[in-house]
Formats: sequence, C-alpha cells, structure tokens
Amino acid sequence: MRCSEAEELLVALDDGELSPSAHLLLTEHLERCPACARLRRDLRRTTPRPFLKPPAQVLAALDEATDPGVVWHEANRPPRPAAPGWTAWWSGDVRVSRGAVVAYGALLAATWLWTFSQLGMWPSTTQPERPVAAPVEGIEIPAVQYQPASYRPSDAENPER
Amino acid sequence: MTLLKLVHGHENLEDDHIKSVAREDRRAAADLVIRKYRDPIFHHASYILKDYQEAIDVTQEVFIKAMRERRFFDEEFKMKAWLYRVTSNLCFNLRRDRKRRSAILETIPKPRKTEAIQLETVFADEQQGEILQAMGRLTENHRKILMLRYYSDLSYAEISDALGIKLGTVMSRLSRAKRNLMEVLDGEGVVRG
Repeated sequence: MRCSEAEELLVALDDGELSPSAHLLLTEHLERCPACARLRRDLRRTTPRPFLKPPAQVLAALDEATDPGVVWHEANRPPRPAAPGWTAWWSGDVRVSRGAVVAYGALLAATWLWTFSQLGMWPSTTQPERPVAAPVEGIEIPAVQYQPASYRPSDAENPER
Repeated sequence: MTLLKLVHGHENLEDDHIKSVAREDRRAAADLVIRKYRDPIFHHASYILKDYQEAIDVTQEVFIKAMRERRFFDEEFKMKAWLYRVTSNLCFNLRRDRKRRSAILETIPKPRKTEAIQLETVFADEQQGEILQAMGRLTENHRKILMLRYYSDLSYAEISDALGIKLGTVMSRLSRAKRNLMEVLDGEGVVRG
C-alpha cells in the first residue's frame, strides 16, 4: 500500500469503518511507515468530540417545544390560506364581480377627467396668441439701440480705412 | 478490494418497530420518534447554530415537518437520515440568514440573551471549544460531514443517506475535512474546498 492510499484511509480506520481486508493492509503499512503513523496520531488528536451539557432551563424549554401533543397538533393543523393578491379578483379567487370592478374603474376615470377639465389642467395643443403692444405716436424706435464701447466697424463696413 | 464495511442498508430495529406501530397508530409512532430522536437532533442543531433557543426552534420544526411527511413511516423510508438532513439544511439556512441580517443590521445593537441560553457559557472543554471554532473556518460541506460523524455519531452509511452521497465520497470527504481541520488548528489556516 502506498502512503497516498494509506492517508485516505486513516480516518476511516479510527472511525471503525474499514473492511477487514483494508484494515489489515493499512495496519501493516502503519507498522512500516512512521510518517503515516504520525499523521494518524495528529488526526486522532483533532477529532471533534461531543461536549455539550445544556442547562436544565434549556432542557425544560426543549421538553415543552417538542411535546408530542404540541408537535402533532401543529403538524395536523390545516394550512392557513394565503392572503389573496391584489389581482385575485380577476382570476376569480375572490368573489368580486368583474363588471363591478370595471364599472368602478370607469367611474374613477370619469371623475378624474371631469376634475382635470374643470381645473384647466389640460396641456394646450395650440400656441396662445402673444399680445402685441399698440404703437405709440411720435416715438420712433431706432433700428440699432445699442452698440458696445468696444465696437469697431470692420474693414468691409468702413472701406475708407 | 473492498475498502469500507458493507453496511449500507443495514436494519435499524428500533426504527422498524416504530414503523410497525405507525401502521396501527401514527400518533403513538410520532411519540416514539420524538422520544428517540429529540435529544440527538437538538444537540446536532446546537453544534451548528451555537444557540440553544434557535436549536430548540429548529428541533420542533423538524418534527413538525416529519409528521407532515406522508412517507415518513413507510417501510423503505430512512427516518434517521431524513431527520439529520432536514436539521442540517434548516440550521445552515438559518446561519446564512443570520449572516445576511447581521450584515444589514450590524450597526444596531443586538438584544442580550439570558446567559444560561448561550452556548458559549458551556465551553467547559477548552480544546473542544477550539475545535468547534476551527470548524467554522471550513467549508459548509466539511462542517456538515464532521458534525454528522463526530457530534451526532452517524455511521458512514447513515451519512451517505443523509447527504445523498456515495459511501466512497463519505470516506474521502471526511478524510479531507479532518486534514483541513488539523491544518486550521495548527495555525496554517489552509481552507480547501
């Protein structure tokens, strides 16, 4: 038996799970191989062992929670029906007339439409006319009202330069 | 060469007795199941959760689920493996939820539980306490298999049923898990999948 094979079986050996033939081969290998024998000792040293000792208070609570009567009653309780979803009326899970729901929806929509129309909240589709100021007699508005101080006419505009 | 004992499918006489009772009276069989498995299941949950109150809740839930399972008292049904599988799954789900919750609510101080209910207070065996802490650094698969074997004392065949893996895989996974545990304890901190 090679060391790589022996290493795979060491845990099963100490767990008492090896077949008699594998047990024999492995123990023979361990007598000849100090490295595998050392690995076996190290693995044994780190074996988890149960160590819990729950306090009496905990055991009493466990007793109460797992009382067969309680468990049996809970297991045989009919399942609580799930709360109907908001679309349940459409699939017929909830007894509501489809017509009534549609009529209610239509009424609601009509109320909204009326309210919006009364409040003038509709977005307009035509541009409103802009008010035009009436011309005042005797005042002529010059074509150019303002020229910045830095303005210098270009050569094209002033060919004398 | 056969490496492992051929004990797969061995009979558990007590479980068979419970099943025969169930044919006449399911309620009486439920009493027997709870009486037989309550403590081992509670201990198994306690080692995973490290919280007695949560372990009590899980134990109750496992038995309620068992009584709702129609096939539970069937002749071919593996009660013990089923109970441990469901317990392990519920506990590891709860641990994951707990981690997620604590990530979200880490700024909010947790309410203190009564001292007697906390598992840490019973870490009388220092070395075993360290081993349990070290197991927390292993992968979930390795933790599960070590707990089933060494805390709950399941045979390889029972572990194979509980985890739904082959007998040969039980042996190789346990071997790797124990070597990883040893390395973590030695301070090397090598955690392999």
